[in-house]
Amino acid sequence: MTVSAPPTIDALVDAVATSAPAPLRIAGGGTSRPRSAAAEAPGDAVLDLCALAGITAYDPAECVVTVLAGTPVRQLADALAAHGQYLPWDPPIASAEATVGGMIATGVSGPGRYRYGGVRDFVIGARVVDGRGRLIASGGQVVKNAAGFLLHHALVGSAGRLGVIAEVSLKVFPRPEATRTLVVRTGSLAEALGAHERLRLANLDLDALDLDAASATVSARLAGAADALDARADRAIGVAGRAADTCTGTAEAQHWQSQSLASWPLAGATVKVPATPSGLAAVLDTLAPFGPCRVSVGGAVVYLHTPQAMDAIDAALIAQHRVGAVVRGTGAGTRLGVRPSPAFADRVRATLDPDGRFR
Amino acid sequence: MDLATALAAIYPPDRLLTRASALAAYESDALTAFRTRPRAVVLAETRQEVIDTVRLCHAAGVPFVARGSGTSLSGGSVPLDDGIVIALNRLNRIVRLDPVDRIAVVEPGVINLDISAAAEPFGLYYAPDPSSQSVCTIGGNVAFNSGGAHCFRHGMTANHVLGLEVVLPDGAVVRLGGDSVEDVGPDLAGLFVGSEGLFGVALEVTVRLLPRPESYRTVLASYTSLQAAGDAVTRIIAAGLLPGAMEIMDRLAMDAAEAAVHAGYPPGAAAVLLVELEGDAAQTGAELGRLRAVLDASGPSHIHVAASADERALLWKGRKCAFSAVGRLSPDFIVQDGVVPRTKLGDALVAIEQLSRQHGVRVANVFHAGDGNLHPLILYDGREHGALERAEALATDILRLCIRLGGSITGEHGVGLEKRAFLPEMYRPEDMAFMQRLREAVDGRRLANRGKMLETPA
Repeated sequence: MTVSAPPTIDALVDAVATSAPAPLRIAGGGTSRPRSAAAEAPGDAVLDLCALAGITAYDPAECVVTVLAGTPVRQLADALAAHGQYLPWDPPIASAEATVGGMIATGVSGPGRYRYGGVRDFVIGARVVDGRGRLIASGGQVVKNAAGFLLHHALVGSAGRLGVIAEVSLKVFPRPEATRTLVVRTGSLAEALGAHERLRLANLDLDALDLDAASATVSARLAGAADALDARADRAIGVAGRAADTCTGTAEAQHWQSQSLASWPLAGATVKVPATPSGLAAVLDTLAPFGPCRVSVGGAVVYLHTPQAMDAIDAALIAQHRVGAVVRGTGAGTRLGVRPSPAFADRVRATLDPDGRFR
Repeated sequence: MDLATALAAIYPPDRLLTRASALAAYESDALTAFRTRPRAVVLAETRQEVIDTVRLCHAAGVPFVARGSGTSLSGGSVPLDDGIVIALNRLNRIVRLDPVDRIAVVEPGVINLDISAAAEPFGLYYAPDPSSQSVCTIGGNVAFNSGGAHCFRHGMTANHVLGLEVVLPDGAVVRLGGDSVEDVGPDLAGLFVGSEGLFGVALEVTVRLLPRPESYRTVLASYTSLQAAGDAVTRIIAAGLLPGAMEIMDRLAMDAAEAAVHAGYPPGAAAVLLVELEGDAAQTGAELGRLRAVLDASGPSHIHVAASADERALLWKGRKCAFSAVGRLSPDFIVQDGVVPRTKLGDALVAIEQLSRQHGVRVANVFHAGDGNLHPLILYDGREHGALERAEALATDILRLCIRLGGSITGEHGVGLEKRAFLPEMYRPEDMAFMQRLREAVDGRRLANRGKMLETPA
């Protein structure tokens, strides 16, 4: 096993090329995949991307940032916050170590995805090193661009199997002036689902809408002009139809942290299952026997934390014609449920990794 | 069995066009400078017919191009003379519109605006709104990653397509993505969007629908210079506002639109900026005060807030019809689609004015200022000797300007035939080589929309 930690894109290109034909394992901050597990086989080459860090370009007036893949997400978020901007999809930051490349490769967005979209909607360009050590650019640094194949889209959720993400360009947004969160605690999952659905279907322009199944708690966040929040919160509470605690500031941040999949331990596995609001109850029924579940993005996704082996979960998802993936912990990057048609996916992968080096 | 016989076994005579008079309508699209008569046109009515046609073309080694309403401004649906056109307009069913899950599953020939019309009773709409939305089809939108006026806030077509069923160039049928806004695995639906038909034909498209904003606040500000309008856009973003749309038109474009629809644009201004806030009524009310303050400080000659839904609709109608209205000013024009970083808008506009003078060619400017997407309309008279060449020379200079300023050669129209020569100026040889490899891997015989995007003209 050889480990290299290239500090530049040139060095990364070199490291991929010179380690051929060894299988490649990409290590980021270790927040999704334990770093020790990144190097299981003795013949593997490990690429530690943490040295490939830094903001390449950021013009706040442009609302675009270009950043090297090993940059901690928290460092990027701080740099944006200094100019009143943010990553609207609220990347779950498990620790200070999560990297931008890991965020793209994992493809996991946080609750803020509800309003403006997720990682996939904000990646506007990328540079990636393929399995033969070729540096490939796609997209650019402008928010609207229809030139050439949109390879940067395919990197979202690619789990490191299409190449080594070296650098990405992201669209960013002005941070809302103020936020406020309503926490609606109910007595049962059915009641929680009812309140969740009422909040979702009312035209409240919510910033985030999550549901914790175990505690039957619904969390709804409003964001925008400070002087409009009182009226908006009153209206949302009326829609929820039950008493709600409201929180702001540090308490609000702590609340969302407590609801985040990042608050689950790295031990075991976190499974992501895309859902639709109408199928939400069925997905929760399927997953509940395996561990605690959280619903995010207004019912578009369920996260499950489980200590169990994946076979039974995989089978249950297949039986329900659903897809899923382990996004954190043991087996991170494993597909579950119905597998995608290989005809297109395999050709894309073979083009970027003709020698099958990315595991 | 030859291809003609095989196609005749699928299609009745009225849906298999081979006579010159019937083929004429399919020779070109909205970029009329390119024109080629195809071998045949099939009018498909079912997805199985599309699949069978692709398989026959693959077996016979005959290139094909899918076509919706033919509104491509990059020549994206122009056929080859030995090729087949697969017309998809009759595949125009909305298969499912789910107001609870807020998705629509549609066939590729469905017209963009028809999705919003069907969603309207449920308070929902489909966000991407290219200017041609009342005629263009969703299949073409997917192929070219169409945009519109709301891309900074809402994204492009790729951000609204959740799932696709496609027939690959060799006839294999695959599903990409799904029916949720969340997905697992590489975003292959996002890769298929914008592939300009080179990866095959979309048979079914699942799009997300957004709740119609509770309120809009639409403001028109006029300026004595184009640059001042561009600078106002930068100020609005710097103030932390996130309008749904920001659009600029110059004098020439305004005059044309005014003559066509009497939108009420102020006479005498050099440029107007149209800004639209959207969302919760309390929120947009608060934002409107902030927006007014920013605009007041930007040196406008006039500010007007639309007082009613009708007035708002009229302001937008003027903007949306500007392209066709320019036809009143000039017998022919080229619509450019370059992108510059938003903060370079002012520089770009000054440079375009200079280029226009240098080439002695008039340019009307209409653009999506929120996302830096320029649409210079280059006016010429095709009957005049050398006029087309002068217009094209100016268009070339503008594209190179966009590349130099760090932008793109196309924001939403695609590369198509028109900008094939410029893609290698925007990307390095290694990037182009990758795109070629990917194309070869998906379509080894290069049958799907051959000649577009990746093939540099001789």
